[in-house]
Amino acid sequence: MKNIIKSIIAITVLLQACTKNVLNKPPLDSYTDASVWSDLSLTEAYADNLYNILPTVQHNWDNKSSRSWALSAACDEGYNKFNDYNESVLNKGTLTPDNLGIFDIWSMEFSNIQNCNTFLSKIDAVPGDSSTRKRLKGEVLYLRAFAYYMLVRDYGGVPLFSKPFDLNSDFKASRSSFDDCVNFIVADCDAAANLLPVNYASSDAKYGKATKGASMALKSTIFLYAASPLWNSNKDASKWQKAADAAKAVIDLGAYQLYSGTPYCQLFVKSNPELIMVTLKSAKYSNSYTDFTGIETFLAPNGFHGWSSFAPSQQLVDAFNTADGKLITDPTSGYSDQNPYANRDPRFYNDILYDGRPFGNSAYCQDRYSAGGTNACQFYEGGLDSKTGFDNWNYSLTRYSFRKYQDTTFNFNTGLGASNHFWVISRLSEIYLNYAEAQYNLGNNTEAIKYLNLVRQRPGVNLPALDGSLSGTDLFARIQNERQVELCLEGHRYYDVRRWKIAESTQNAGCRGVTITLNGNVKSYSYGVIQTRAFNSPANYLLPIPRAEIQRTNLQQNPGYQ
Amino acid sequence: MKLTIALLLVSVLSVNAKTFSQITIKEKNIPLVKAISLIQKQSGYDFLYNYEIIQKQNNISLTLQNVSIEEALNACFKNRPLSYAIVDRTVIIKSSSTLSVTAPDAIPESYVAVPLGVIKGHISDENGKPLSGATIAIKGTTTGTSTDADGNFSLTVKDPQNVILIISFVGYKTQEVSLQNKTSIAVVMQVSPELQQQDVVVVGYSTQKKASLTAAVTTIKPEDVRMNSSPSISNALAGVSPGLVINNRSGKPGYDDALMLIRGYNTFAAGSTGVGPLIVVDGIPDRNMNRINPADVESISLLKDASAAIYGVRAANGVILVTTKRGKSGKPVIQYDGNMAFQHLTRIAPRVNAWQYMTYYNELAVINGTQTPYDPDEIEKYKQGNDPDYTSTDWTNQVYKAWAPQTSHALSVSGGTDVVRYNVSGQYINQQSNYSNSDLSYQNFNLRSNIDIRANKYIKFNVDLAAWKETSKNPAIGDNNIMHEMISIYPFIPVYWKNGLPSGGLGYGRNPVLMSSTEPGYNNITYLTFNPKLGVDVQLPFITKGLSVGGYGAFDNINTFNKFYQRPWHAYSYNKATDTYTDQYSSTALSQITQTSSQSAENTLFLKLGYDRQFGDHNVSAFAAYEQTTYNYTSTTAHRQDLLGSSLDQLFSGADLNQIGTGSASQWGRASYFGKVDYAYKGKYLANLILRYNGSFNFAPDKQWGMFPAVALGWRISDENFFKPLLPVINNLKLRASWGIMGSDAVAQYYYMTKYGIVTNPAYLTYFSDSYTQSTNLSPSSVPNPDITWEKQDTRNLGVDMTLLQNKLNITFDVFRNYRSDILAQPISSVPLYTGLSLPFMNIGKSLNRGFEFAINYRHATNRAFQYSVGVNLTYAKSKVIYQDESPNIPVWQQYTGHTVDSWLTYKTNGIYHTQDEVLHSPHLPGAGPGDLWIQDIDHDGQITSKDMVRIDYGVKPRLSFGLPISFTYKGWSLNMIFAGQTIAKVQIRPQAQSAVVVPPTWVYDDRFVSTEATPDAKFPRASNNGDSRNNVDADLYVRDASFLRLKNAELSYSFIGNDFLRKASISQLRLFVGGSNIFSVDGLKKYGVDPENTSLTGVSYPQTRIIRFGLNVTL
Repeated sequence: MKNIIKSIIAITVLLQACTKNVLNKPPLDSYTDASVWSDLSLTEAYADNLYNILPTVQHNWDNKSSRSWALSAACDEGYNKFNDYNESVLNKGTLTPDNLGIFDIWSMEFSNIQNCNTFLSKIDAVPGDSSTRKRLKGEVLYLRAFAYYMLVRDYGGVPLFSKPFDLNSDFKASRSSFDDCVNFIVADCDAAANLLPVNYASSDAKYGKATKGASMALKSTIFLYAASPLWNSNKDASKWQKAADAAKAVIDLGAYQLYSGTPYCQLFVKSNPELIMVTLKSAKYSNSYTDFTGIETFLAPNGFHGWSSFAPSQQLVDAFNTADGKLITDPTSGYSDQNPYANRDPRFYNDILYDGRPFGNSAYCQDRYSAGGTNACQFYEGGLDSKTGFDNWNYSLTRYSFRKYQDTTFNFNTGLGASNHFWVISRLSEIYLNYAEAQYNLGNNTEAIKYLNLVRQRPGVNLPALDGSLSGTDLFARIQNERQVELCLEGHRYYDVRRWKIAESTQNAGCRGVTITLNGNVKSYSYGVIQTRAFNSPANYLLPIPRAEIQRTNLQQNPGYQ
Repeated sequence: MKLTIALLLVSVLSVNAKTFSQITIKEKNIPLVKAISLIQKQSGYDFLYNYEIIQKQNNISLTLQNVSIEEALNACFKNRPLSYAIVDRTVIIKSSSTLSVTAPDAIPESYVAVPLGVIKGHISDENGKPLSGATIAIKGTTTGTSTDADGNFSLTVKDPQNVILIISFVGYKTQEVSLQNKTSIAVVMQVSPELQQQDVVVVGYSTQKKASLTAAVTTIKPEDVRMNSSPSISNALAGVSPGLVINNRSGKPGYDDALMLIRGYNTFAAGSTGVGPLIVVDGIPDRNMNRINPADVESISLLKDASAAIYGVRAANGVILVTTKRGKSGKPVIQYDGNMAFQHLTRIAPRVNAWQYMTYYNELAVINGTQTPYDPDEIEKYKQGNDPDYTSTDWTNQVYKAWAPQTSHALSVSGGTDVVRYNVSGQYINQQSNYSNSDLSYQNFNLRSNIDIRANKYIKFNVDLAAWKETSKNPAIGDNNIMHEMISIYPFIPVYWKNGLPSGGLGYGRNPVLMSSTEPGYNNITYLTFNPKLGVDVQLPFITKGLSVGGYGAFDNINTFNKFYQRPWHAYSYNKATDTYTDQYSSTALSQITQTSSQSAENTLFLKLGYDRQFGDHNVSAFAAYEQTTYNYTSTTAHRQDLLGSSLDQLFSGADLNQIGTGSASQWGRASYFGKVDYAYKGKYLANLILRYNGSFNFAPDKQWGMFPAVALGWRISDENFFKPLLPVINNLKLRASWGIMGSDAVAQYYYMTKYGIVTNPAYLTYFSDSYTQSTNLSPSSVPNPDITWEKQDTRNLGVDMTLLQNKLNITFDVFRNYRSDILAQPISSVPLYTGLSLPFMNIGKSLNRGFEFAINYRHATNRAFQYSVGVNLTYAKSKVIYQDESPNIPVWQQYTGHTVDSWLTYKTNGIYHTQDEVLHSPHLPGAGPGDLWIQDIDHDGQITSKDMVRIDYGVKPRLSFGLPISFTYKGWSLNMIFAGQTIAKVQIRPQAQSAVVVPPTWVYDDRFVSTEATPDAKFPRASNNGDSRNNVDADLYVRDASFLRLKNAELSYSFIGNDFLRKASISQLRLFVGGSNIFSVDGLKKYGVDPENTSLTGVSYPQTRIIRFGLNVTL
């Protein structure tokens, strides 16, 4: 019996030794806390992932990319046929705290901010090269600023956090004022600017990462928002001064020049000195059917086997000046709505695909030739790009498509050959226009006109200079028009009509398009609303905070939302 | 003793059989019969002779010293008219005519052909299974015989008219059968319910006599399993047992196993993980019960109460124990089971045709303020339907076909000696799919070999090897994708254009009929599963009586090979204006290959010290054990694209550019010390004690170990003296009670720490430099919860077992109360979103699941030829959330607490608005008009918001489920049916739930709102699509009762027994059957084309199937 007890004890001891190995099973598919925050290369891999904060050219049908394309369809710039980002709830004026769907970025951005805060709380203790550490810290400060910038322009003032939460944190918080948020964002931009190099050459391995220039550009933009009517109801001129100074500081860096090459459309497909900050996306994953990321397919007319997913509105088309720099509403402009595409701002031909415009490499759209057409768009009724043409469920309701951002390497015969693309976060002409708007509001019309002209007279655009005597609402109309045209499809218009508080008129006008009828050789153009739209003022100037958040916090809902 | 003329087959089982028998006999003047008997004893040989002939012989004197059996026999038969032959180990004695002996099996046949009444018979159990070794005696004599391995016997009787046979078999009621001049009889033995209590039931890590069971355990018989038409065994369990809720959610070949729940569920996990029972096959956890050959199933036990606590941290959802068959001593029994089946989709939602589609979406465009997409002229042409350019396609009926074949063949042999016993089987299954134009199919080759070796008096080994190879062939494009296209493709697009070319659907060749074919490639998976197990059991009576030590080890392996091959395919678009066809070939897909090989290995080690002994009235059975399970998984993936041509589907033919080589790995482990004591006093006072100390890798090192105890008591009242007067009425009565604590660690791994994983989703990759160099990104998991531990369930059960009406009526009734605490859930309702926290699971929930279950079975034999049994079993389980994380500001009517764990939120409606007046006079959503849902303003704030949603208490998992097993047997005929049903369950039929512009189902089209005047009685909203935030919402208008009663499994069979032809062919039994599953259903969902067990709201999952099969079983 003794022996038995002895052997049982021996077996138990032996088993206990085994048991330790049985239960010691660390994860094999991931890194642990300890390794990420002690190895600078892993820390950088963590920081690189935070670049997902920035809007992207990729069409992923998620709320990550809803702050690029979707914005054009949610304002008078364009129309999205397939309601890809749930922007129809905005266009119909039926927005509630319950139905934002993937247009909502609240939760995602705060998650990004938490990840930035985690990084910022750890980075100082990571051993290794101090210049890398410094750079990474600057990049993440810029990205946190950008995340807050995205939040405040949608929701107004939001809670501000600079420390990461854990399960034991006090979760209570309240909304900071818009101005406090602006100060927070600016502080991050300033801190980032101090830590980062001015700029990277496009060949640099770090091109596309945050820089001093990018941080200062973001500061310029957020100050412009802060000074605008939506957030500056008592017309505080010092806010305009800050906006002007911030824009001028970017200009004075001397690191950027307006794109001087031709054609102008290359500005959006090839790296160039005008670009201050871009988000790069590789075509590597764009070719497969399942990813839906190829923007050529996404934008091109149905006659090219594209989807016309985002189509320019008639309003945008009408915003392009005539070739002599006049608004088409100007009776002296010579514009005729029955010959609408002649003699227009050269940017029109670079940004828009309209009826009759040849597009793309003729070898890459052979189906059109087999069907007796050419690479010239046929948006007229019965044409290849009309609702009786190829893949007719994809025809453009406005009868336009975007040319901007597309390149001609895409082979529509095969649906393959998408190339690398970037989304513009900041570029110099936006800064010029920020500066012009700020100077106008400070009463410095000459300075404002000077920078408008710089944009309009650049090589490849070459519009005549604006009348130097322009002032008041006429000048402001020109500033608004210039932003509408120059920055179209870059996600600015949606916010511009809000900060200028003109969205109720631009939205309620509906989305307009054209119908082109061919009688013999004569085309006639009739214009009309292709989608009625509604805008509830003042509610729709901001998005509602999602109900899920209101139900768990004491945050104040935005006005007009129940 | 008088005139006994019998042929005796005397079978002497001799363990110590001598190969060279040495016979010594010194006897004077003894009957020859006695001499033969002595030779028989000493030699160990079997003897076969006509008793009458031998009895007539004169006495004999023998003096033999160590002689061979031949010498002994020669001495016996010298100068007698007898001769003998030795065949194998059998001596056949006959009158000295020529005795031709070929094979031993042939002997009885030729030899029995003696005159007088030869009675042949077959003895089987209630299920038609032959009983081997049943005793047949002639009443009033000592003469008799016993059945062979096939249940057959033959007996020579003198006076068939008056002979009465007494047939007995252990565990069955003894029967007296009057021959009445019949020469062939078939007797079906009835299980003796008293003796049934001696049946052994498999419980956790041991077996127990049914009589001494204190737990709520149901045992499912192999017959029920074999009746199932689906290749997945879990489908056999529907309606069979109380306490078990079975729902089949898909009929996809190879993926049609059922969702199983024991007594409902009691945790917050939404899907099927974390709510289902632990599956244990032959003692090894995590084995796949669905892939076992049904013919190999010996029993399935369900541990429904605290008896499951012996499985510790994985026990809380109950345990299913599957035991496979082992060999029994005896002649090899060979069995073949074959069947051919046809699968038919139970329900498919009917969808509108072309002109209806166009009408619908024109209506929608008007509502949305956009241009109408379809010309009225065009619609009219489709309506006329006489222009070949304007046809309508019913895509659903093009993608699916009506019948798909399925076959199964299984062969087994079992038998053995006292040293080695075996049960060896093989099975082949081939299941085709209901896609009309596809290779989608499932095949399985299945082998099992269970061998027992008794090495000596004390040591037993068992070697169990199971292996199967499954091949799952799939289209390159996933089911969801194909079915998404099927329900969203326009009905005015044809499958083939009028010139015969295939259409390209909505573009990129997305014609679902082509997508399901092999033209876009394939996605094939091969699973090689190997389940070996070696066990040893050593009795140690020399240390102390009843002591044993043993254990087993298993190393289960699954090797998976997945090859995904995609290539472009030819599909054409057609331009009516120019009458041109365009091949979309080059835009359909990239050519690419992705190969993944993975290996998962689960090792189990189990050691046990057992003690089993009776001291007078005290019966003790106990064990202490150690168990550990470890798991390792690795996978390797290789990818190349832009293949040189589509003729060679191999990796090397892809381009170097964009090639990918990657892999992944995971591991886990659990260890336990545990034990159990079963104690019985006089067999009527019963007690069990279970204790398990369990460690799980899934928690922080200081939170890994926990204790799980359980106690159960039983009282066999019917064994008490005071109960005796009642015994004629109540034949058996037992009360049971149990309590235990069990755990569930079924939560994703490593929540106690933050993990940083490499980002692989292309949408989240980042690139830098104008050469677009991809960076490696790390993404964090949730914030750590170092305190995470398992869920705990306090499980209580009270039960009663009763037998009435001369053992014909069996009743089992149980009530249970399961209180679960520390339920793992994310605090996603209370933690503000602005914290940006990615939340870990935390032990924050509490829930109570109460209910009852019963089974009543009545079994009756009106006469020997006809018998029937009917039963009903029912399970009611209602959960109630005691605590769950809630948002502090939600209205009380939306709080989860107090409702069932599967409750959900929906809008209450008054149907739809029919007039503008109704809209104006009621709170409504912005922009609402006639034809929109009339949502009730529950909070009376004058607005319709999500605050007006109310909680509905139950969902797709039924609160009440029941089964009705019915069987009739008449002679060789047998009809078995299992009805299964459920009620108190809800299902949604929201027509636009799929996120796309879909083809509306006809039932919504026919009953939609068009205008106040035209459709005053419309039930469903105006034309809408998935983006319609006023109508495509969860609303009671789309909620339907998911109650059903369906004939789940049924089988009609005829067994040929005792047939001369079969006997000549050495076939002991031939059974032909026709059967099926999901044969019909009574429910309220037929008009929506929704199967009542379907839970797919979107309609893009493979539907359920009805299976009709024909087959035969042959037993040799």
